[in-house]
Amino acid sequence: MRRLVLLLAAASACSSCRRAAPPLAPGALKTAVQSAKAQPPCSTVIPDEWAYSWPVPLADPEASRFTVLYYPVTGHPGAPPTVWSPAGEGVVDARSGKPVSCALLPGAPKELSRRRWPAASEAWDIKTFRAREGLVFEKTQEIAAIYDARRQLRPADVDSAKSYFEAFSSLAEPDLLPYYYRMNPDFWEWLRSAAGVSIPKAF
Amino acid sequence: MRSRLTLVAGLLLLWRLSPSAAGSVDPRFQPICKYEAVDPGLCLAYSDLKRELLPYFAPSKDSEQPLPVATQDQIAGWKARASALFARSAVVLAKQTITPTSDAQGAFDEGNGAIAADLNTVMFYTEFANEARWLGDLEKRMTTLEGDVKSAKARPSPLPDDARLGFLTRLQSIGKDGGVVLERLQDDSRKVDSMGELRWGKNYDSVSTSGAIDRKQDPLDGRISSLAARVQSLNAELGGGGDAPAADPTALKNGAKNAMQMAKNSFVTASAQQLGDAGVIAAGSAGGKGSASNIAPVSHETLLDYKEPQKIPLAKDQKAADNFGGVLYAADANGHAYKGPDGKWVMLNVLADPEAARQIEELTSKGLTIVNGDPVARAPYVFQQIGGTCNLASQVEYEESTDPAKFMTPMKSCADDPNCPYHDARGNPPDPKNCPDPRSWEENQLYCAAVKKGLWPGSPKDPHRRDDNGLPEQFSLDLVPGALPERQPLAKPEDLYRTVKSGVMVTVYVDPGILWNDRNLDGKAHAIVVTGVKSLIVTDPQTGKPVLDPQTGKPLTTPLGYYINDTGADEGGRLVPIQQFMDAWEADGHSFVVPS
Repeated sequence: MRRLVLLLAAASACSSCRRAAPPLAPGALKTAVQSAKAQPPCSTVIPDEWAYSWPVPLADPEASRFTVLYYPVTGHPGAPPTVWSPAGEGVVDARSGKPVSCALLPGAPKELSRRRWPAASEAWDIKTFRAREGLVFEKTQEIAAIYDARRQLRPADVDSAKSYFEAFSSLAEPDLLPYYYRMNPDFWEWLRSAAGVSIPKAF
Repeated sequence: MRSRLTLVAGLLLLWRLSPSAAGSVDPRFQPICKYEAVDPGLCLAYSDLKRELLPYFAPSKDSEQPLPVATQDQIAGWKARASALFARSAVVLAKQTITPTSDAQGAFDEGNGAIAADLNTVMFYTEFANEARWLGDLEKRMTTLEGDVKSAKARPSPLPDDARLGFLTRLQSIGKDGGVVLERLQDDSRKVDSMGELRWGKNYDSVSTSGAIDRKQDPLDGRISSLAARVQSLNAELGGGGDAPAADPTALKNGAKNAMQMAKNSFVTASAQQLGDAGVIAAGSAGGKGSASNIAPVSHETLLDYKEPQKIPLAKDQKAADNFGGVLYAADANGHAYKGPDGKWVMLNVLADPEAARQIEELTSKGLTIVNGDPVARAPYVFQQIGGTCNLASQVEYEESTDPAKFMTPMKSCADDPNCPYHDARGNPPDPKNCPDPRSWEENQLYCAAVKKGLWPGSPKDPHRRDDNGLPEQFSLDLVPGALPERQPLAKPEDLYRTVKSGVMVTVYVDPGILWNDRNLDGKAHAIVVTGVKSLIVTDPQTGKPVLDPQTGKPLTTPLGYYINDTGADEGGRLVPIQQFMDAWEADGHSFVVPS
């Protein structure tokens, strides 16, 4: 009887929680994003030459769907690149490893800048840079599980949110931040309320 | 009773000596038969052995068939039997009962000598046949090399103003793999020399004890002479020059070894001198300057020591850059020189792991590697893509590989196809003084076709449409008539390896940021053409011999790196170490496309 009471109490305390989705396999998000352009429907829509953005979690009970932008980066090896505004977007399912949808954005891309990454990252050697790239995927996968669970945040969750934002902002393309916000405003506002950090609002 | 036994024994002896018996006695060994009572069957054993040896050096008069070639096992067996016969003859001679002894000695000396001579003749013929086979292989190899050189020469040069540049320079322009072609020529040259040295002094009359051989001229001499002439002809075609004496039959007859050595020295010196001047091989490895007559013989080991370019052109070092023919060298441990679209040289560190490149070089120098595909011949197909057209450019490379004649005629005017006006990536018409080459023009045609078919996204109003867009991966090779592309999305590394090893050109999609070790290009997808693969031949650590695949019976290999043509950098024949290649490939969906 006492156990039942405890269980009921626990259930009522977390009445707003969603059923926790099983965690994604390590590296699942990175693989899904990297291979999306090679698989339908993206393989018939998104040009090879466009770069993918960092994925942003979507509200999804399975915590496995992310949205990605595609944008032209022109230039040649060893020369400063030209970064253009996003021209396509897609949704990937990290659990299945497949893209769910892909579409072209209206209008011609606009030239944004001649620098792709945040200035601070230029000090990193290539190994550090690649490791930090992997960290962004890892932290995004981690924060998605917390975001989608919609639970009352524990201190550890807040730490995760802060460390996600640190990883993301260290490598997010500065000129694409408004576009990142538009990918899922709900996520960025949730992050702001949960951990006090986020990117600027942009509509 | 005793007389009956003597009669039976005599009849038996007569039966054994009779030609109608299962084995008959060769007249040469009849004197030995006198000692049958001491060692029954001895003279017949001599005859049987000679009968077995005879077909291997004395052709039947009514047969047009070539002589059979003995195996090493057969020769070993005959040697053992001959030794046994010689031992038996010694035992017979040792018997004190034999009289007269001098007759016995003479009989066995003659018999043993005949067997030894026949055996030597068979061994000579076997060696000759094997050498002829080797020579045949060498002739085939030379024919292949001549074909490759002819094919390379027929293709449009990646260099400007081709007429003023030697073919040797042109080979160098495709980098390390141009050196491989030269190595093949040098290697063949050495083999021809070795053959000349091997054959030198071997004349038929020195072994014609049986009388079956009546020619004194070694027939291989003529073939070796012909091969030597072909080596020198190729050398001249490559711009090697030199003062090599003509390897005519007289020269070979009077001193094949010297003639070959002189020809070799001259060839190697002339070629190596040019390679040294161009900085392709290290100074000193050419064996020094000088004419053929005053240089020391060049060791094969020295010649095989092909060095990577020691000097990499820097952006400011235009003179050095010119030596590279304006085209990239394969990446080496020192870095990479890249000529950007603005014509300026850019130094890059394209190798994620320079140590991997060094290891490949070391394994190659030890002869433990093999190349499948044809990265050398395919390197000149590459050109600079204009816009986000890597997919289209790779298609042009396929077209060129299947129909080189289409790309042979240089553009003589900038006449536009009215249905497909030529514009650069920024929408500008071409400079009349700088017409696009046939490949760029063909790329433009594919671009128009992709736009018309609705495969190329973007708006016609966008002046940068060609630059800021591209072709989705699904449409790779769709624009090549009859290509019937076979797509392999999410392929396994072993599938790619097997396909490239089969020799075909394969389009793969890679992350150019990893391919070029340039973080600014991360996350894009870039189509490149894989033209070959360098593999390590797996050897048994105990024996050092290649390990054979139990299923195919062929040596087991594992990839060390893939050769690529990259139109994003106008770079052909770059060898990308396997780990870096796989990282780049797997970061972009690890897919590939093959035209069927």
